[in-house]
Amino acid sequence: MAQTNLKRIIGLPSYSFYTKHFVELLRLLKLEVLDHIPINDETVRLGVNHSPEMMCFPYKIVLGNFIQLLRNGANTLVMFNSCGQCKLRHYYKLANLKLHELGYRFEMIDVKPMDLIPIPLPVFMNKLVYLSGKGKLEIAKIIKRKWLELKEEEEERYLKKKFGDINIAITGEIFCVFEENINHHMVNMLEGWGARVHSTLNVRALATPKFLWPKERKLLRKQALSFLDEADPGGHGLHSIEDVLYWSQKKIDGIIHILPLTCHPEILVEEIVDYLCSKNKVPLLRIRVDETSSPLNIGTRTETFFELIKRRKKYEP
Amino acid sequence: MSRKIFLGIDLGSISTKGVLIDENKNIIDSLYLKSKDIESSLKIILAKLVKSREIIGAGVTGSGREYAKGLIGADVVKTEIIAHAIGNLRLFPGVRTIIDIGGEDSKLILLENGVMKDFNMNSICSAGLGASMDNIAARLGITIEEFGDLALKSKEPINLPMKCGVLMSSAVVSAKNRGARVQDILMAVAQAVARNFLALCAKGKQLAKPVIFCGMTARNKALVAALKKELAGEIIVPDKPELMGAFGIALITLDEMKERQTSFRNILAKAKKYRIIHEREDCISCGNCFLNAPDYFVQDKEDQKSRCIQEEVKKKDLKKIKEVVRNCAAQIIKLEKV
Repeated sequence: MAQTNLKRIIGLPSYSFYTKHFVELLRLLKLEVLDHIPINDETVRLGVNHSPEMMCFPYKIVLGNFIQLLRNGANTLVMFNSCGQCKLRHYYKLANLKLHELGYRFEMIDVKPMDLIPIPLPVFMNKLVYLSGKGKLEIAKIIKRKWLELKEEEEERYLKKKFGDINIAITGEIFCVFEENINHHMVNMLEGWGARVHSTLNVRALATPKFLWPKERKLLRKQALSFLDEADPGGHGLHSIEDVLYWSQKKIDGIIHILPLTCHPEILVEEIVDYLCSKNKVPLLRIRVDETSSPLNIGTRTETFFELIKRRKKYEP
Repeated sequence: MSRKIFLGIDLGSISTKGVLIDENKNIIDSLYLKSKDIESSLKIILAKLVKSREIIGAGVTGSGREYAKGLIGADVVKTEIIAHAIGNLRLFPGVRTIIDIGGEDSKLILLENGVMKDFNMNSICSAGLGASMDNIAARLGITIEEFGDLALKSKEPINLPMKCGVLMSSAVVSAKNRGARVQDILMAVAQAVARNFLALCAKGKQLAKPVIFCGMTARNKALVAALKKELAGEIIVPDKPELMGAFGIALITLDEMKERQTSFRNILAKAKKYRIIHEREDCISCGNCFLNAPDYFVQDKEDQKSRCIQEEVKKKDLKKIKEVVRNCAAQIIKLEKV
């Protein structure tokens, strides 16, 4: 329901270090955006209470966060729409239905990858034009600037990290990989013990058309597809297979595959990830997250995995 | 020369285990108890196992390990999976598979050439755990100690649902009400726990021999028999299967301590006492002591110098007296431990 007479107050769901970049992007477009609400126990409680039991955990988290934002005064919610094969593309519709059913009044805006590509042509940036009323040239300039800042941060955190004594790659469903309050600060734990944590996942790739992919990535995609019926299962399922192929070549010390308990693309590729890790002799830790996960159970598994790698390197250099 | 003694404590949610080893890695004493709160469990270990022994190094493992570290100043903290691997490797150097079915979690550890190569823990359901067996035994009115021998008398175990400890428990009650024999029910439970463990923890894994089964549930002969049947081969159960985690963390502590000073604190040991030594001849009457600690020092009316009127320092005043010692302008006040 469009709020045409009221000032638009936007709520963005919290998502790791990406949140501040997207909030800033909208604020640079002179939009009023609420401060994000970090995911906490209340977020989980609200999301779990109002979601189907078998729905994937990221959906529950985002729904819970939306409720918190609406309670804080948001009248517009912005949600990413992957336009891909997995359930995510439909989430903004489901959340919209549920939240209106709960009595909230707001407008739901789904932002697609096309809306974040800074090319001033008819198909691009339309949602940002709708929200801000600004011209495409101005919006493109701001998006380009934010993409550069995001690129720097992604490279520093994960993409271009130098190899150290113990190197662990993290792959799987992108929300669980990066959102610290879902993976219970797994990356911080590992780095605290002395591991270097790497990842090839990044949000910018979602808005990068395939023809712009580097040659190496296209080759990995072709290899990954050969393990399935030459079709993308959606989400980051194919990317998880690509990651095992990529990191095995780089002689990574271990791979952590993290996924929500009921994530279909990741469940589909589990066997393939297991097979490739076994074939390439790369230690693998699989972590499935849902509302029952706790810092202790994730911490124990992560710590044991780190010790396993440390001892393996000591006795089998 | 007295032996060097290392302490290993495994703080589980259901039970707490303590082991003392010497520098030759031999177990010299051990203790098993049902867990209370962490502090109480630790105090029992200290009182009944450590007693007045000097501990060269202490390690903790199990779900309560981080809290225990703070309480007793443990030198080494590792997860229970690592501790179990090391403990079992010491007794069985060629072990390839370690199974531990605990009260509230279970573990599978795979090794090759004495090095851990993979592991898994059960997390989703309780049907493959000792707690399910405890609950069902209680509902049938038998003790967990009687479970194994009674179950082995079964000729025809019944069928039970897998995948949910609560549903399994309800099915047991239904079976009993329909007249099923207790031994047939118990053996079915043992089989269900074994199958669930393998389905949840070992799926897709190659379980090479030799296989060690440890944890308190390994004392249940029916569960051992059920696992043997599922794995179609022999299973080794250590003499004291419940102690492998505590033994393992004690061994790791011994290896990691080397010449390090321990930070272990026996929280039951009596608190040290302090006495003031006061060399008043060199006092310059700065007033620091008799103004800040008048219960311990006064200014002598004749020579104006300070005089100590209370030598033994009460525990509550220790911090204040240490401050007075530090600030004495002539540095004539000292504290001595007694």
